[in-house]
Amino acid sequence: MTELTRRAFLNRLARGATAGAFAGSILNSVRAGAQSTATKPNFVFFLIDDMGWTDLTCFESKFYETPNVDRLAGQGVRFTNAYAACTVCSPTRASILTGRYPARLHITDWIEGHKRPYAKLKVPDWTMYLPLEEVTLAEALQPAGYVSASIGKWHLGKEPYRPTHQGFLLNFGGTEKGQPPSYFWPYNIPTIESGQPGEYITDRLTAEGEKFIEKNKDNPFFLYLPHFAVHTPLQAKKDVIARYQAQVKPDQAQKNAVYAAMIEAVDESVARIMKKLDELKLADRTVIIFMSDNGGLIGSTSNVPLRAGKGSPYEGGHRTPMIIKWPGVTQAGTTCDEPVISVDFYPTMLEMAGVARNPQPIIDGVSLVPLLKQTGRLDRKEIFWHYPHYHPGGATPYSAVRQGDFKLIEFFEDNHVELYNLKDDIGETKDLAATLPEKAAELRKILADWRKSVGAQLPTPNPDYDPVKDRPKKAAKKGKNKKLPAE
Amino acid sequence: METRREFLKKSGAMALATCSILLRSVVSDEAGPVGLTKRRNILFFFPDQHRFDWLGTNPKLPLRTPNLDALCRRGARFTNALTPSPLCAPARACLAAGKEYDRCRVAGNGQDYPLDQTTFYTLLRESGYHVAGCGKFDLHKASPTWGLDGKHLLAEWGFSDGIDNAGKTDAISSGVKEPKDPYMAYLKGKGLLEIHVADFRKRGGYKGTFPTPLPEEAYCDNWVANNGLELMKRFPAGKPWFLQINFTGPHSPLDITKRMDAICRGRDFPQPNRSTQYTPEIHNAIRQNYSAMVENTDRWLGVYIEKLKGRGELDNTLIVWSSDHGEMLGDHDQWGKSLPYQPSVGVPLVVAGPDVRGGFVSGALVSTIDLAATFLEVGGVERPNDMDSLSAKALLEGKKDTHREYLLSGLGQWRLVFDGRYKLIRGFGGGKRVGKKKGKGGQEPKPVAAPMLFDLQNDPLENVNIADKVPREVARLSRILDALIHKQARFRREY
Repeated sequence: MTELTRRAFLNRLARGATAGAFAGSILNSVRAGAQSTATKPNFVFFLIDDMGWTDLTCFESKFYETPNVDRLAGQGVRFTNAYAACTVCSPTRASILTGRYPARLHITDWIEGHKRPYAKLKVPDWTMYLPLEEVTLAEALQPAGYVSASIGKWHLGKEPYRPTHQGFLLNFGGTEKGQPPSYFWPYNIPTIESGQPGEYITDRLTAEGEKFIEKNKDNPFFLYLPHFAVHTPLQAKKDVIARYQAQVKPDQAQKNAVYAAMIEAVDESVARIMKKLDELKLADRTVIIFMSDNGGLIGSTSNVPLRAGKGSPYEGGHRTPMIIKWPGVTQAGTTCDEPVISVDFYPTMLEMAGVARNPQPIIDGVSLVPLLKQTGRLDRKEIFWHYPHYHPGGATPYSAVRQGDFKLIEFFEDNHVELYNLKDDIGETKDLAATLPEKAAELRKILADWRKSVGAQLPTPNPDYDPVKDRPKKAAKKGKNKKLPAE
Repeated sequence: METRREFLKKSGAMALATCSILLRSVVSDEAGPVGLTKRRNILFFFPDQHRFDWLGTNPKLPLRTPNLDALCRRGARFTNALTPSPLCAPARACLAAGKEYDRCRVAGNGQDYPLDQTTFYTLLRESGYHVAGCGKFDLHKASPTWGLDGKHLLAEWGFSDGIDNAGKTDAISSGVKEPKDPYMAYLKGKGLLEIHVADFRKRGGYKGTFPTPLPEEAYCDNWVANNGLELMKRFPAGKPWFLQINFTGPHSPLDITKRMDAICRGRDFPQPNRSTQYTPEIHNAIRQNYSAMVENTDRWLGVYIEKLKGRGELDNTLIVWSSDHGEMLGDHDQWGKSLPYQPSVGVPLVVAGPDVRGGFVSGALVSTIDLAATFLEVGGVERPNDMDSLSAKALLEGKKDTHREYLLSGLGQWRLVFDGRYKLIRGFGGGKRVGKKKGKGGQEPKPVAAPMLFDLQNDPLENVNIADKVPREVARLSRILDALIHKQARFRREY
């Protein structure tokens, strides 16, 4: 947060509270424009599941085709150093919805996590749902008159923790599960009651998104669109798969035609939503955000030049494509290389909506508005990750911190650290921990202090440790659409 | 398929029948003479534990009650309204019966309303009103059973329709294992019961000011208000209606939703009077929460007014806002009610609607029991002779400027009489409650001590007991109090 005098801070609170109270006292969805001149932009938040850093053409993919997402990027800002707060889904989603680090929330793994009963470390007793006490983005926007919908994957707890108890008027498709039983109707998803044979879930979610926009065109709205794509099971329309299959070259890093077809469906979703906004003349008052919840899954895609992928402590696990279009503010077709992380969306969107925040509860994110307005860089020096779990993607319990170009990873099994300079070595091939011991020590202390300040849960030595019985599941074979592990 | 002729004959006959029914209800002895004016609907907002000075019209408070403020501008606000007894069950019993505390037959929260005692609800219903209510009725306070449909005893009390539910703490104490009232049943159905119980258990009476995890529509007062809207949908056409909404707030605990929490923080409230406990921050947070609950009820007032507009009924509806008693909120280091001080016995009273004088602020002495006779008169129903309640209709219409000469209030052993300036309190222990600080229902004060006298004109906060200084005033008011109490006893003997 920028330096504010106490008076200025309280004034800001009071102004926001006035607007909030006024809007709160009118049940009908009326724009509070009568009270203030600030406009309240709509928000459309595309959250793609498991999409890798290089899975878009505008993020250097040589195989996938995303002309519409590229068009969105051309109208907005591409963030090249954007990160998910976790290498797996549920924690990142919680961080987006609350603006708080997974470590502070104690939601640190995909729900409900892999079980490794004989591993060297015992995983802490973490929280496997988003508690209702958390003030979600939807709830924070509500006093300003926003209506919110969650259309797609929830993966943050079953009843009573589902979206409709968390500030969303509408939940379509959200359950406690992390992937759809099927991408084709019947989906076997309890919160999708009807459908047509042949219907593809990505298209269906898009249609529901269009309906929500239509219904709320006269009201500020927040459409949270967490697509099931491109998470496993890898399923897509045959004709689209065929088109990509015909183009695959044997030596390319990304070569899964089914995955490519799933990405195309996402691209079409963006096209349709943007078209709907144009049609209803809402395009110039709607902020569009495009993000992924963690890195690409090795076996479905490749994140090269980044190392590894989802479920690992390396850049391939956390780094994601990210685009923000804020009509009238962001400069079209620009790129931003400032490190940003998924906890930042919360304060950013509240600032865009003109909603002042109370100091409680503590928010870890910082508003990206200065970057979007190009008025300056962020005040923040470090961003953090904490994953006290095991994952087939390669992760053993770890914490990590990025400061400027430096990244430190601390591994809890043996307490060793790895230090990388991402500017010179984006592939994390050269561990500098031995050659730059002061930097390593500095970052290690910063990481430890941070863990303490957020109340991070640590793994403990496992009394049942048995290296023979503990056989970690291998990641799936590359390129095949096989049955992958449950997450 | 009937012919046009047959159809016209039928409608003609029906029209005739309707006319005669109307004439009968207007002219009949049972309904009482009312003339040919349309009978008014009555919307009665009755939040629980809302103290008399906590309105947006109070310039000392950063409180935002735009709908209540508008109601004040449209109608009448009374600054000297008292409850006949500052405790939930007795206050509501007095109101229902139109009787003073000593005659209402509900001495404390351990008694159920006696079903052989006529209520004004019954009298309205018998005269043709559709009488409805929702929220915490608290007329069977001793017996924690509401029926899962919330209809237990409603008909006996005089209601045509309604949904009764447990108050905040009664809900937890009665329904943890198995819901006994519709609110806990509703929470259980949504999977929210344990979450709500856990929240209340860590909240305490006043210290817990953090928001509830419950989503908006599951927050009790929002659920109650929505029930009222559902009841409205079922109002039979062509009948005047009475609807009482018994909000469970701003009674403690101070649970508020996350939305309410976001709105109420950042405002500075004046500190309590004569407070030696806690810190300013704690008091401020408590007052923020208390205010948030009042503002939420005000928000619903706005919703209901819009609803009435939509039904074309706003011009024909009397709207009343009052409360069963007040809340000490830390004044004199006291909490809750049960006490004879203004914050505990003083209640808001705002009335607007057809025939009511506009923009009128009055210090006339009105008791909440007078609402019973007022509602009856508005409904064209004759007031039974054994009611203590006196109709304030003439006062509301501007035909009179005063109402009562004295107000009476009491609970347990103490009684008070108030003449608009002096308040004499007899039978109240030593001026300050010793023992449990938080006021809870049914606690007896210490044994009888000397009478207390406050001059509310010069000492509105009741900081200086002047009983020793003006013994003549004490004697005068004491005689008056005796006469009023004796009158009660006479009533008891005669009826």
